[in-house]
Amino acid sequence: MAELIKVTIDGKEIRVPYDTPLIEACRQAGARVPTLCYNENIRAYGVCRICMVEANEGRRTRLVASCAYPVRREITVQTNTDRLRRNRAMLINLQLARCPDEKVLHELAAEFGVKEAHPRLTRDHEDCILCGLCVRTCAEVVGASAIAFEGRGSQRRVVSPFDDENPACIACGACAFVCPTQCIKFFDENGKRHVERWHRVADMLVCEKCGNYWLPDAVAQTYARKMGLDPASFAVCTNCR
Amino acid sequence: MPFDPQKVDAMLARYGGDKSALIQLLQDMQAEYRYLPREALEYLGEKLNVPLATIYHVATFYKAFSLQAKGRHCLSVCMGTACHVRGAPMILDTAARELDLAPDTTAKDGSFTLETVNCLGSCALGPLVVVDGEYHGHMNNAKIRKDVAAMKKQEGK
Ligand code: SF4
Ligand code: SF4
Ligand code: FES
Repeated sequence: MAELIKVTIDGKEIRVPYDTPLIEACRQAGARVPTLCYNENIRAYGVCRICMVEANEGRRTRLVASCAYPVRREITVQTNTDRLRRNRAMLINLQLARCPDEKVLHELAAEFGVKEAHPRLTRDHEDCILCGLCVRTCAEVVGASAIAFEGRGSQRRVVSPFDDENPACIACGACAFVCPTQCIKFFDENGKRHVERWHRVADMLVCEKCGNYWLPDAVAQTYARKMGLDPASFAVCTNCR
Repeated sequence: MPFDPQKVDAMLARYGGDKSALIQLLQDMQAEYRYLPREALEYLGEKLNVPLATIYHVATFYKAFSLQAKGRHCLSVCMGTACHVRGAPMILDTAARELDLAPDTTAKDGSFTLETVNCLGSCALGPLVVVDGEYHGHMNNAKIRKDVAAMKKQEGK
């Protein structure tokens, strides 16, 4: 039996297993902690800092990114103090300066009372908040590692290598699915799937029964390999089975 | 210099084909070609069994690596603090005008590269410009014009 550790969240006491991400403990206790770069199925990355909480393990209170903080000893947590709201507002402000048009940010801005991005900082109209969810999903879940961060600091971007088509991309669309700003778009046309942001155009399989294009070839091959299936089992689409 | 797989193989052999030597390998490649050719990175990824995206991430993260081929002639203007206060921005302006090149770009015909660097560690010589690998110290507008003219002459311009 794994050891359970006492966690007090906004006054509410719960017990969680060793190494539970603090954010999961907060959620279990019913606290709402905003996130931009966290997904429970992918390794924490800790870049957006929006999920910060005030944590005290006995000596002093610190601000920690709850998604990247494993519970290892007894801990007392506040999730919605003035200090936290001020800090979150500042982060949202900076994000808005890069991405003034993104809905997720406007929702958070409304929640934390941010009126508008600092006018002197606002320069771009980026649609990507650099959360890295797409990059990590592609590497960890899909196993394709087709996209990456490029450069650093204010030059940082997420791209396919050389901002060109990468055959390693299986055109599965998982990156589009996790993207919080929905800035990765894909569509199927004339037997090809286009993942626009990564310049990917991939062949699709035709269903033997209905004759419709239904799945990118590379996705079928990847599934077959991962799950030990016969590639022929993808000959007929899910509608015709 | 064209990409030559054998050269990359030799570099790989030096590190026993070890993935964790990626940065050293990129450094060797940068020294060999003075930039990182795309074909070489693709080849390296295959050989090391490292996704191209990972290599691209590393290659674009460090300023020591360049993905653009440098020109046949290269002018590096030091923009470190000491050079800066002694007039490096003016020298950079002059060089950019004389070469008709924006800073940190290479001419389309592959002739010249104008780059900025952040301190070359020779502050006493400032303002400092490196002309095709040679340190030219105590620069002023007249000297930089002369250097550019000499480079242009070598290019037959
Ligand atoms: S569509 Fe391509 S880039 Fe996106 S997750 Fe799938 S393989 Fe990766
Ligand atoms: S493209 Fe979307 S998922 Fe990827 S880093 Fe940008 S915002 Fe995040
Ligand atoms: S959600 Fe925790 S740092 Fe982004």
